[in-house]
Amino acid sequence: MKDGGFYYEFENPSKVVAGAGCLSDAVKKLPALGLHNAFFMCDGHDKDSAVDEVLKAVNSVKVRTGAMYVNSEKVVCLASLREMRDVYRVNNCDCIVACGDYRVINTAKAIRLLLSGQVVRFEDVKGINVAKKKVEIPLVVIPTCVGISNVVTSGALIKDDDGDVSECVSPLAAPDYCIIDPSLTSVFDTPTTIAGALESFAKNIEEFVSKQAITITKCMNLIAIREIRDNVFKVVNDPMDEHAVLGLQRAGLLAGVCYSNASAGIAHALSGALSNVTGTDNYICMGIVFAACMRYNLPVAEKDYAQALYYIIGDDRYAATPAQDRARTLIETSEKMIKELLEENGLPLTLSDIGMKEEDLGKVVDETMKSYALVTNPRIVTKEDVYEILRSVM
Amino acid sequence: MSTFNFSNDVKILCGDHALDNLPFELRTKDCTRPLFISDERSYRLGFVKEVRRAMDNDIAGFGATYFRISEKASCKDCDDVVNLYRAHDCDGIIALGGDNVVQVAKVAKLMLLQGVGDFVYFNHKSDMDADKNPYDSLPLFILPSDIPSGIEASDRAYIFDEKNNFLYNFNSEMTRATAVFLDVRLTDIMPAKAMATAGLGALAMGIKGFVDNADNPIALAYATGAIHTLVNELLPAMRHNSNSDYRISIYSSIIYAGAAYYRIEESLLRDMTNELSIKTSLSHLQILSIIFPTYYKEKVNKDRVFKSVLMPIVGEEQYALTNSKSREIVAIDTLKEFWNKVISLAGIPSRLQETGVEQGDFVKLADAVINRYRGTDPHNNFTTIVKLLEEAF
Repeated sequence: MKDGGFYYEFENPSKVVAGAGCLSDAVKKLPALGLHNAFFMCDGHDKDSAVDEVLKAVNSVKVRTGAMYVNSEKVVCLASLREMRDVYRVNNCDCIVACGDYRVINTAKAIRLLLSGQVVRFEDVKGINVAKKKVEIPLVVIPTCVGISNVVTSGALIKDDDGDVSECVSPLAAPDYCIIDPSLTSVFDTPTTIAGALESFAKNIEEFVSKQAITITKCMNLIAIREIRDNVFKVVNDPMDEHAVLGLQRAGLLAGVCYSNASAGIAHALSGALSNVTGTDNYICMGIVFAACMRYNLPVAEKDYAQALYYIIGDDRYAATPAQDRARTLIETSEKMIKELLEENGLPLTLSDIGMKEEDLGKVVDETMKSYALVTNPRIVTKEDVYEILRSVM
Repeated sequence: MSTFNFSNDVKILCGDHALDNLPFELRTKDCTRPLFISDERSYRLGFVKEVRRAMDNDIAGFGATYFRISEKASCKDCDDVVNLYRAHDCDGIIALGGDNVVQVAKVAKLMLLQGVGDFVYFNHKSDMDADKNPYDSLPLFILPSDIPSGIEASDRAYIFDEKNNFLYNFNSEMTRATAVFLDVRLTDIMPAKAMATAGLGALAMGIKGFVDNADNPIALAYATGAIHTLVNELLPAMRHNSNSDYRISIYSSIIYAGAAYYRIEESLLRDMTNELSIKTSLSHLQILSIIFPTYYKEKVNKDRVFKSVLMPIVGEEQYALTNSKSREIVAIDTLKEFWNKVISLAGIPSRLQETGVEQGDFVKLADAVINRYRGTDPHNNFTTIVKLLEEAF
């Protein structure tokens, strides 16, 4: 070990309560957090749905629903945020409770950022640690999807008035309280499961090899990768398997904690750009580019990939795989797993499948190069590299 | 079905120049009049000056300063800090020093948030409101200037009341630090003996934290990371004790191991360690480094998770090559070998008899431990404790 030059920061600002049936007990803590009149956000509200169950539980501890907002935007735009801010204020809300998929949680974090920083202009929130807390707005998130990692991250995506998407990173975006109850997520469709599992798998691998990774985040990533291996196909085959669902949620949670500390890499940047440009769901874009990005990073991440392989294939196969082949085996195994998940569900496997043409690549490349995630990618990324990766998955 | 909850929002800033971020972190928390507390040792070694330098040009200064925390954190220290804080209308605490300063700062924060007048009040207050609105928070910045004890990023704090011979044990989010800064400039070259004792004590906390947090992936990661680092870096850190990166790496492992260990609600090991620490005046980590091998030998058969400890100790390659039925035994043997190597290299005590404890003390000690223990495991009884003490003797 060299002497000097060592530095890192680590934090996990959210309190997490997880377990089957934990909702009823967890909400009892809400009044003590200063919640009385909630701005309730969800992705739809049907009788007997998970959202309805959450609403009843929250109301049962004397937290009123001051206003309700149904979110349908993948990335929230400034106009919607302004509208939400007015609704929040007019109804004298004192906290935000968000229940739903990654979109609802992203929107909840964005509005919390704006409200607690009393932000008027977008410039006052855009970027890293720009907004400063002026008002305490407690934020509680209750995910109803598997594997989503943005539940505890300190960032939110916001679309500005020109339609450009920016990441706003701030501790103000991180929820105070996160309740993960697999019984709320037991009814969902297969693509949602695949989306969650794929995203958190890719994120965990990228964070593991990130330039900013530290021992603690690496341990979290490996635990998460093992959880995904053990549970993804179980959940696809039986969405009611609460134990397996919780396993995937734990993996997503860990990916989120690590993302805030270690950031990600080229696959995150590229899939985000592809999704923004084409409108295709991020997880599909991730599925298409992930193996190619792993191959790109192989020369600098060989040791880490080799280590991570153990958590995918287990004792016997790991011991039987020659050390020099392990990194490559990880890529091949990941590629096979992703292909299997996408193919079996009739989802796109190449850029051509989502309608991309050679002439569209430039915009994706430009968008990719703007991402913060490239800073922590273990290999320095050039425009030409991104073109090459994209062409390899055309 | 495994359930877990996890709450630890302590920010860790670690390494070169960590201290330079103190003004930024103060600003983030709107803290403009912090009470700066420390002890004579940190003052003498120039660490107080380093903190002052880092604060220069950034904020107006401190609300008040107090550099007389006694060597053994006392109830009076807590009262003094609380009174000074109130008299100068401070809005946060910066605690620079060893375990004594850290414990006082944590308890003072609790007293201030609870609106407690003086320490004696805790004698009469059994129903502390642990869930009181956390937004009434008071920023607390901990700057260890000695080997950390593991308490820094935890929700625990201990104060020994010498007058009444009683160890107060606080377990509340209100003792929690806002951030811990581990900066090379606040650490000194550590003798190999001290590094060895603290490292083994931390390894004990890490293993206990690993076994008892198997269902909590975040705490498990803290423990795993700590074990992995300690097993791989403790010996080199002892051999190259002027290397600041090794030093900081071991110190941060102690903090993570403590974060996993102190979140265990009830622990016979911790209660035994506390009582022995009072009896011998040795630190918690010193006691752990002595009694843990006996403790885990006794407990291991009841902990099915123990075999998984082998992974962070030996790594994936060796773990995969070890027959799954013998992993528990290999873990014990490997740990034993490591423990013995560290002890013989550093020449530190390995038996209780070397610490001044006498066999005649066992009954009284076991009584005190059992009175303190609030767990429900029927195996953790008087006889077990005496047996453990005898074996560690």
